[in-house]
Amino acid sequence: MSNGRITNALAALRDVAGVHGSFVLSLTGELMGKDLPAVFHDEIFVEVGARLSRFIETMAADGDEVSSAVLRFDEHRLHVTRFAHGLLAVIAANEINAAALRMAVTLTTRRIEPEIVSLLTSPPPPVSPSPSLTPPPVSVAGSHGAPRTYRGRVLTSG
Amino acid sequence: MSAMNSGEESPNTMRESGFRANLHGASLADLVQMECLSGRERVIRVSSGNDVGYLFFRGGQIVHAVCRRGIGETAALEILRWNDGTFEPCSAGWPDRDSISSNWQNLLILSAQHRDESRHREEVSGHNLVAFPGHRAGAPRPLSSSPPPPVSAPPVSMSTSSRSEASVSGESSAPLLAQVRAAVRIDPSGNVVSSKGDAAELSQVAAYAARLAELVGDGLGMQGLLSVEVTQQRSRTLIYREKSGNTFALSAAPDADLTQVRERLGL
Repeated sequence: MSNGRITNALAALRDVAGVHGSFVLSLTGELMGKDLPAVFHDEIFVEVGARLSRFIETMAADGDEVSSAVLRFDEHRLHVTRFAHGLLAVIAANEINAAALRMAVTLTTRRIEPEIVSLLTSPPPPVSPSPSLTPPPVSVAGSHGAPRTYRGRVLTSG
Repeated sequence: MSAMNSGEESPNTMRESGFRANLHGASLADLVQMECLSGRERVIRVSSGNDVGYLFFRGGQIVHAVCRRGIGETAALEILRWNDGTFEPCSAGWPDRDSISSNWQNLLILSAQHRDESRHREEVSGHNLVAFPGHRAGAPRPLSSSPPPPVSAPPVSMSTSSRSEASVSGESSAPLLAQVRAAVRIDPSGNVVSSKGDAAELSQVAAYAARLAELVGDGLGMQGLLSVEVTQQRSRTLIYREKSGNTFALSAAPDADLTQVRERLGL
């Protein structure tokens, strides 16, 4: 479901020194786009996305919605920002200008939001109707062996 | 931090291992909070100028206090008003029964209120011509009829001490403390080691969130989870993975400034 325009928008985050890359998930954890080195192939995000989504869900378990989160590791940190329709995650070095990153994230979420909405609301690909799934034609009273009725009462012949 | 990580010890003995810290710029409120969160049972000697007081910690609470002005809550509040000095464990004798029933959060908040009121009185008076003995380190104080303070143990040498010796100075961090709603320390098995406030839900959330954060890091090739900081609409949550494997979490007001906590944790 990756989208070129989302990837381009994410690439702007690299202007902030220390940003290694970023990715966008739907609120349910599905990968919507990424700007990361090739080593981060899409399959990784099946689990990462689901866990990050559960993480946000856990923190909001009492109804207190999450705005953002910073996961600090030995050498890197993961900045996660929740926006209306998804999660933007930025992988960065520990030494990063947090203020610059916050601004860049704000602008990026503004840019990718319409793209995410578009992806989420785009209709599924058309499926050719098969004869077996074709609904039967609207029956006319009395046809196809159905009993005739008049004002809800079954009419008997003769 | 080192105060939280140093080993446990009985009130009258010093363990032969652990860290000794020398903190500059910490407030007494910070140190009391650290001591309470550690849950240890020990006596701390607080000195400020010519004043000396003793705070008795057990089970994450201040259960007894003594200074020249009195004992119990009065003494604790008096000690907590001091602006600078030293804070060190000692092997003072324990009382037969506790003299303080208020929890430490209340004591710190009361202390902060007293300080604010004193400051306000000074501002209203326009000129600080009248010295308040309780506020001035080194100012002469009348001796009271309260029982004499317990004898402190001699300083323990650096190589064998488990104490965390700290100098106390700077403003109180009571505003931050007032914003902390709950705090909890969980061991690697998920057992609550110590907690403050309504931490039942926080412990579960912190344990699971820390694990998920660790797995997310693993998936992305980021090892060694240090902490998780979450900004929510109505709160802020900080989860810290200690080297011991324990997880420490605190929940604070959404506008709480966690800078001090972050600095103390080395984040």
